[in-house]
Amino acid sequence: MNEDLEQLSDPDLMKRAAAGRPEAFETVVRRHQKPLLNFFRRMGASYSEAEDMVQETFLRLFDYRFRYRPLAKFTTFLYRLASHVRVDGLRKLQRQPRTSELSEASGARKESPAAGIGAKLDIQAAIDRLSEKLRPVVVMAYFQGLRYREIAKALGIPQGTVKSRMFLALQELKEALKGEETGKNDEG
Amino acid sequence: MRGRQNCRNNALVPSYLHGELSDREKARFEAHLKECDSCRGELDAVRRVSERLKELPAEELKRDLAPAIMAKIPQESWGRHGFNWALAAGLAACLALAVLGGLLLFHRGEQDTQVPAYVARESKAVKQALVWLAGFQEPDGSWDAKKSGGHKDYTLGLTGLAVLALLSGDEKPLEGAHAASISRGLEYIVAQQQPDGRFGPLVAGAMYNHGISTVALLEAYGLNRDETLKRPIDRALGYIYAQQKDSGGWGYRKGRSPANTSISIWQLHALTLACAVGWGEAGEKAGLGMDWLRGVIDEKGKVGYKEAGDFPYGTEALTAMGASCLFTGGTEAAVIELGPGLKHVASTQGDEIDFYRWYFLTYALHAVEEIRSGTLEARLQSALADQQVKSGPEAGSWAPTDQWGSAGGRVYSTSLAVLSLETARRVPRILGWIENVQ
Repeated sequence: MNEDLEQLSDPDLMKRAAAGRPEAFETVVRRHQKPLLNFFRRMGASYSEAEDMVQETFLRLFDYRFRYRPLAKFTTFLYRLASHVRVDGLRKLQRQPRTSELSEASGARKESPAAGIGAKLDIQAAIDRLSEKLRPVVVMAYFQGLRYREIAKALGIPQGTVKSRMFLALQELKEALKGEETGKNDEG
Repeated sequence: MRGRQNCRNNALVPSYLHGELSDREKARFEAHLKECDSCRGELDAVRRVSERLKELPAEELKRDLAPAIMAKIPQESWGRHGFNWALAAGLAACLALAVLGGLLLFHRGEQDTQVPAYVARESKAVKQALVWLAGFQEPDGSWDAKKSGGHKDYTLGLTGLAVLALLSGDEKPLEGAHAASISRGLEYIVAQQQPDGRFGPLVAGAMYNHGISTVALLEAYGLNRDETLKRPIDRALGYIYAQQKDSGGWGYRKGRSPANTSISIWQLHALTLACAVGWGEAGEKAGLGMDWLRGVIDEKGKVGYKEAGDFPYGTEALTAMGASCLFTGGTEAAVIELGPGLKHVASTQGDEIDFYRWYFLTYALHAVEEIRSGTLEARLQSALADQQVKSGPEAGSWAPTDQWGSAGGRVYSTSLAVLSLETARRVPRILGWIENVQ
């Protein structure tokens, strides 16, 4: 078949994957692996943990290939799976779902591409300090480009809750950055 | 001008910044911003945070993960046949009927009967009900609400329900005993279409009338692909799109009343069907509506009326309605969210009559086989059979005894009873259409 898979939409590729075409599923993987890895990294996983979670998410997506229905936006469905993978992964590791501990245990942030760039590390550290409820909302909106209604769907919460969590998260980030600026001024 | 003390509208700043306010909310907030120092200060602060967040670079992959992922998928998985929703629901229905039949036979000591007593009784009940319905039809093709004990404004919606009942009562309804009745009912509905696409007059319950009528037309179209129905369906869908609120849901009137589950589910059923039988563009609108619907599910899986936790008419019927919709046109995630709620509805279902709840509950249970409950279905259907009028001029019908009976009358109760009894035929048919477009 000479079809250019790169040109196909995600639902079309999933349809072909369900019909038994591995190359269609591989195209989905290649298309979404980087944003998915970044999602897990922003959520506090070490690089190797994030890689494992990306793999697990795609394997679950494969299991769901017959059940994905194009009425739901594909990325919303994917991040719904990813959120479950992450929670399951944290449970498996018997860790508290707090990034600070994850980072300490795995040296997650030591590997960060932002390491050495003080300002960027600070904002990531501020994200890490957000609670488990607030962090995904910020990560999904700012880094994965999801709309509020998509975040609500991915996290399985009402859209109004996304709004209130976003407000609270930004308040916390605002305070954290204010503290950072004050700290710098004090040092200065 | 307001001072710098925190204003309660500070909470709107993130939504404003992220483009998540409706045009009306945005205009109102922008007017407020001019007056409020606090909100302007908040906007600047949140903007600074946003800029910092956006500075974080995306991390590059150290290696392509696709080969490792593909290697973990067993080769034989690619040849496996897909999970067929329609087939699974059909099989589950057959299995349930067989089990139910067996149970009833056991209790009645009729093990030697060849045809399961339950199946025989159901088809007889439906047959009698359809005869009553066809006999109650007006010469103009409608089912008159007032004459059946309901409210005059609902003649159109009841005509839609009666047509749906007649369509569900036969494998090939458009060639069966009631084909002419169905045809006249559809003609009546089409004749009521207004220039803006709406079926029927602009009464309080117009969106019920419109949604149900559109579903009836779409189901008929799904069966026979009658080209003459295409144009009225096009226009009817246009009206549903136009009435969709920014939130994604539908209410009594756009701009006047908030979205509610009861009205939204009929529009969503219409859009899901439309998507399945050839109106692909309906998928996007349906997706928005499904999102709204998912937003009114609370943490226990119960569906609210206007928002999560809002239960002016109890929780069970609303949850069953939401499930019927999301299980048919939603995603796997919907099953996860609504599973506990629907289990609750099923476990609290007594023998009291509530045709609306029964209809949506049986629909939802048939749309997802994982949480089917054969015993429950047997109880519902057995209770329905017991309540059916056995003789006299109303023979075959059900009395409109539930809380909505005064609005819908006997056509409402009888149509929904038939639809509840025929979910095993109707829902797999609909799921089959959906399956075919995937």
